[in-house]
Amino acid sequence: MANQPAMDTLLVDKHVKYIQSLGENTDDLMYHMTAHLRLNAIYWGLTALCIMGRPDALVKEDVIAFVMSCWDDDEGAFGAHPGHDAHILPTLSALQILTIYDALERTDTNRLVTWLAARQTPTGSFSGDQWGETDTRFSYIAVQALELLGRLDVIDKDKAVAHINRCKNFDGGFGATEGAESHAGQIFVCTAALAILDRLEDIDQPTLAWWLAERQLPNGGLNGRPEKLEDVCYSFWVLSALSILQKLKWIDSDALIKFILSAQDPEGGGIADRPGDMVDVFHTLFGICGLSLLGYKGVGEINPIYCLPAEVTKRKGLHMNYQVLGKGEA
Amino acid sequence: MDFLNPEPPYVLFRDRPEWSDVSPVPQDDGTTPLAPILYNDKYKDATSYFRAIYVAKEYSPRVLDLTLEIIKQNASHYTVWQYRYRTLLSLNSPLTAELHLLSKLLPTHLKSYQAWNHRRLLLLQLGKKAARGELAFAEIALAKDAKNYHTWVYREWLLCNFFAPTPAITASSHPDPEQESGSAEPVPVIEELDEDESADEDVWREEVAFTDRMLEDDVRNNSVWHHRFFVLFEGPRAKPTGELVQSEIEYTKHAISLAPSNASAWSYLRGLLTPLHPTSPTSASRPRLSPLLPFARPYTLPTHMQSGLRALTAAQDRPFLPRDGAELPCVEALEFVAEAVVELGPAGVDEAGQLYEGLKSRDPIRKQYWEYKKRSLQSAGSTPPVASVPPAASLAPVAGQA
Repeated sequence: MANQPAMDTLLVDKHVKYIQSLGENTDDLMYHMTAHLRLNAIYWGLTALCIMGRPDALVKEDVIAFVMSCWDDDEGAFGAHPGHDAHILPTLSALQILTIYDALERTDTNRLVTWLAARQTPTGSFSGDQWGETDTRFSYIAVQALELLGRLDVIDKDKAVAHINRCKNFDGGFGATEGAESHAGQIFVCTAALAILDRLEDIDQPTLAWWLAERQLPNGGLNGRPEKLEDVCYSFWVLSALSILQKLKWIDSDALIKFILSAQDPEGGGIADRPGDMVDVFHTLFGICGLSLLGYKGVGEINPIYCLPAEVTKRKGLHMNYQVLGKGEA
Repeated sequence: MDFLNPEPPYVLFRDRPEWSDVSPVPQDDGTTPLAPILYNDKYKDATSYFRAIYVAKEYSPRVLDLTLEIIKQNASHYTVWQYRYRTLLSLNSPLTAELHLLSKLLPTHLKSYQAWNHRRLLLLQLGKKAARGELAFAEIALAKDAKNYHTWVYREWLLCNFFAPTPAITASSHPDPEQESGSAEPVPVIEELDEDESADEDVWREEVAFTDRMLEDDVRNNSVWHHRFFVLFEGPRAKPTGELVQSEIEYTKHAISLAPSNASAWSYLRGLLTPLHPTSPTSASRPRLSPLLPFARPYTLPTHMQSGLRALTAAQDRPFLPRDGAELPCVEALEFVAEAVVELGPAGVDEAGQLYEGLKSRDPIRKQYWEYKKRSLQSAGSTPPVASVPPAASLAPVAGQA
């Protein structure tokens, strides 16, 4: 685009305003179409605000009230929006938001623990809800959710790990299910789940880290699989896995920082999947998280294992074994 | 677009006489509207009627009309998909017809977890007789989006669930706690072993031919290479014999000769050269690459040297040389050779060091990685060389191990 202002810095104020405006953007058609993601979206926005140093840009009690309104009392877990069925994705988002606000006691943790435990299948995999779709994403989500609740004891950890290992492929990566192709998103969730379960040694780390480093394209961006397009969200999926494997140096961080910054919307704020595309809060969070892991000045530290602010995870005594560039040798 | 049968104009549900008995329920955004929503009229209208029947627990045919409309507008509304499924079961609706109906909505399918999961639930009810047709559906979907992750996962699920030799428990084994009369719950289905083993074997064999066709379309499609490896070496009907490994090596060499800069093919080759089923799941076995050095080395030479190289190459080895016009050397080959020569001893280690140094300028975006690889050569005192390079004929990392 001609006359595009140079974007060599993170436009924090613009992004804060963008996130705040999500609650006001009533004319946006796509906005109402994403009710099924609402709770996830609030978690994405809040986490981005936290690591930009502006957690108070959302009103804490309003957010908590909304979270509680998503409670599905039939099931004992959270849906994405009031009146939506419980599902493991919004359930984790709810727990993450409440953890950030140190307000977990507001929810019925016993019922949640029961519901989460029920997600594990006899093979060790996890379903997203009572309807049974399994995916390694849900393994990670269940494991993180239960760790936030301090109740990892309710699942069979060995079976959970065994299932994740069965999803490992010949290229060192992980897929969504057994036999599924290696994909950066699935690799992130498997790596992070194994980190939480203290089984990182099950990963062929040099091979996987190399596969991840291969995701960087000449334009500096990262893709999710060979021969696919770059996308800012892979700045999180790929980078987090590399961070956990302590191999962030294997990619060109300057090139990636440039790529992420170039995907910002300098007028309305927010970050898109790639330069020139429409922004959304999902890519806004993951772009900023990428910058955090790359040691970008002015962005607070994200803990990639949970995608929660590092100070929150420190307060909770969670796993802190990951790498951030420029923050001392790991 | 069907020019002969244009779709009738859309009628809002509030204007449909058959819905006049229902009071639509407006969106409740919680105690304070943190994220207030203004719907466009169509979506607002349809979802407000959905909320009404959801609360009333109505499972009637008109609910199928309603949920279909919402799905068309928003394929990710998981609550609506689930409710539709329950309605179908409650009405004992013909599920094959549902599959056909949904197939017309293929574009909404492609990136929707919920659409693919819905098909899975239907298949669990319909059983094996529907599975072949679903392989055909997946192929149509892949024709539109050849790398679609959901489609490939679905295809792999179909193969493992319906055409595998052992019964698969595929539905959740947990009973639905709701237990309402008339409400549908997913019934765990245990597929019995099909007497006709050879028909199942045919399906998997056809799968290999399927990957051939897809690689003809795009030899760089990573999903296809992955799928082929799964079908031949890792899946429930895999028979990884020495002969199979050898023929796949030839297959891959051919593919690389057509398009050398193809990470998937080189990765597949490495996979072929890695002993399968390591003794312990935590230790990865390393591939043995040196037998493929004669194949790989030409790909490390620049384009202008290729015609001279061809002239010097024996006729029977020429088919695996790079085709004319290939841009060479390619990074994948340089890397492969660097790793392979280390297996041969100290001279190989020296050469590897030079290759990694060269890769730092050829692939500068990963120069830290190449520097790491170079340093690893020195600090490890080089990996112990393979005692002898096995002749190609005995290259059989795995022979018939199940």
